[in-house]
Amino acid sequence: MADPQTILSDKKVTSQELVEQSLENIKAWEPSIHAFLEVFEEDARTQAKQADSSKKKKGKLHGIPIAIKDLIVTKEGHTTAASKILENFQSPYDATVIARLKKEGAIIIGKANCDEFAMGSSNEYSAYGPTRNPWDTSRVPGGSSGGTAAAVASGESLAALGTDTGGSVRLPASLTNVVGLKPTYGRISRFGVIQYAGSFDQVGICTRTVKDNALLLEVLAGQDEYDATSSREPVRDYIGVCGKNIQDLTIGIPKEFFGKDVDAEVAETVLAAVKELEKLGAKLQEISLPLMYAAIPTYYLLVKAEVSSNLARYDGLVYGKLSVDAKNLREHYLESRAKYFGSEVKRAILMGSYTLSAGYVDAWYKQASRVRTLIRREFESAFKKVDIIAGPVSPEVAFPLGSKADDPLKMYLADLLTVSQAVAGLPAISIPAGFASSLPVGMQLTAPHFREDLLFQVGHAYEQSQNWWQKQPSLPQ
Amino acid sequence: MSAQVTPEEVKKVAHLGRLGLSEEELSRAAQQISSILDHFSQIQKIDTKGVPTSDDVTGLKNVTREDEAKPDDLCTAQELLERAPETQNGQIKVKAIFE
Repeated sequence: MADPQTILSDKKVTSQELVEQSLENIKAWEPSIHAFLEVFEEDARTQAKQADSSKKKKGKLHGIPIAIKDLIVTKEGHTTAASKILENFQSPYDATVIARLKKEGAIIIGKANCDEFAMGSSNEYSAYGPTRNPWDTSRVPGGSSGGTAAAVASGESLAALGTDTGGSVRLPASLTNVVGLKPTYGRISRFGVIQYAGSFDQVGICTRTVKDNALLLEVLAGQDEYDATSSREPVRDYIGVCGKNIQDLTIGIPKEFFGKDVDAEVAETVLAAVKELEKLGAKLQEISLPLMYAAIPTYYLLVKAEVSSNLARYDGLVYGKLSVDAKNLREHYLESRAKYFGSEVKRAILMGSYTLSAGYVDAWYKQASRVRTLIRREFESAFKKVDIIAGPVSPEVAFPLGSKADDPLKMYLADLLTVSQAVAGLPAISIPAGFASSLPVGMQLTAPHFREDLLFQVGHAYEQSQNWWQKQPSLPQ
Repeated sequence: MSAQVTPEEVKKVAHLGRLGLSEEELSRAAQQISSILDHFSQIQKIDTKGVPTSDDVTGLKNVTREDEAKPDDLCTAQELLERAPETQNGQIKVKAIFE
């Protein structure tokens, strides 16, 4: 099999060839994986033709087809957040990240499936049907950005944007053998990104290789006047560090990340990857992050509280026409939200509101927020001793569809290893690190705030030594 | 703090959140939420005396701009109104509030 196509490539290939390849793969894979909610076939072909006939390259992503999680607004098509409540919503403007992609010449090939309003870890909570893992279609691709990762893993798209609030890009990336980055909170603009939890959300990037990921971060990162939480921190040379050796770096291995909650084969695979980093010259150091066990309750209490407020705007009125039978306005609200929101979304609103209510807010919401401060401090201390932290992304390999969907708590625990980075606002990346029982396993690297360059430096060095990125799933018979 | 959430309490927040749920849905939600909060109650054992809440996650201060109208470079008000089912005089028309 030839190496999978990447954005940065020595191969001479036209935009039309890339778009045709994407559309061909979409046609072949979609019946089995359902990674897309909408494909902009004709639009993409037209843009590809224009890209090839223009004398000058528009930018760093000239003619490159990219898929977008349906949580990010695009002028093209619809933006549904994989919910029925936004089934007919067409955004009149592009999110900042979309505008930045287009400025560099990228072609938006379609909208990727996800869990409804980004709430989920398996893509099974989409109101439009689940996405399946290209490596084994009886299993989940992970979530909430399942469509994003599956589209890249199957070759349907060269790259895709997702969102990561507590692992929603890193988890699916690790279960599908692609690279998935969650940047530092504030690194990429959230303008036009439908909110789950405003103090956690970040746009995430899925690609086949680390260098492609670095390229996309260079395009997307940087302060945006439309997002008051976006940082003025200068954008570093992310591509430039790919190729630097890692001999001066110390890598922290938290013992809690390899504890009893992690499947033995997964732990073994990731430890082997970490040993490889040592062979490449980095120093390993065991560290301890005892608050890791408080991360799931801390995270979920805070995000469900935030989202219960963020979803108040969906009144069944302003975001597209919906069929509702009501005598007055209050009934209209009660009816639309009960009818068009999925069960996890309703559960989130109920639990979130409850933990914010008088008499309960201090013991639940505020306590979680105080523990959040402690978790942030714990990471700060760790980074005084080590440069980056390494560990697994997921406690297990891709699980079968339906095995957790009826048990909300079980589903939350899939995020065990990815929520603490979001709690602390830290950047983290999932890098393909091998296979366990023939299913992909990712290694997670976490860096201090705004040090995505360290993630790329170490990630690239590891990637080039093992080349897991070259492996591709086979089309199911 | 007890993790037991009663169907009555769920009914109250369901109403605040404008979710018109059936009795069965309310009672199932109460069970599920109680079970989830029971698992989460472990964080109440963590000593957070003197620890501030994480209200500020960016370190940014007073991000403001001049209070002046910007050109419609993103989209017009009209385009936004078009997403509502019924409008009148540049406003969204809704059903009666009072019976």
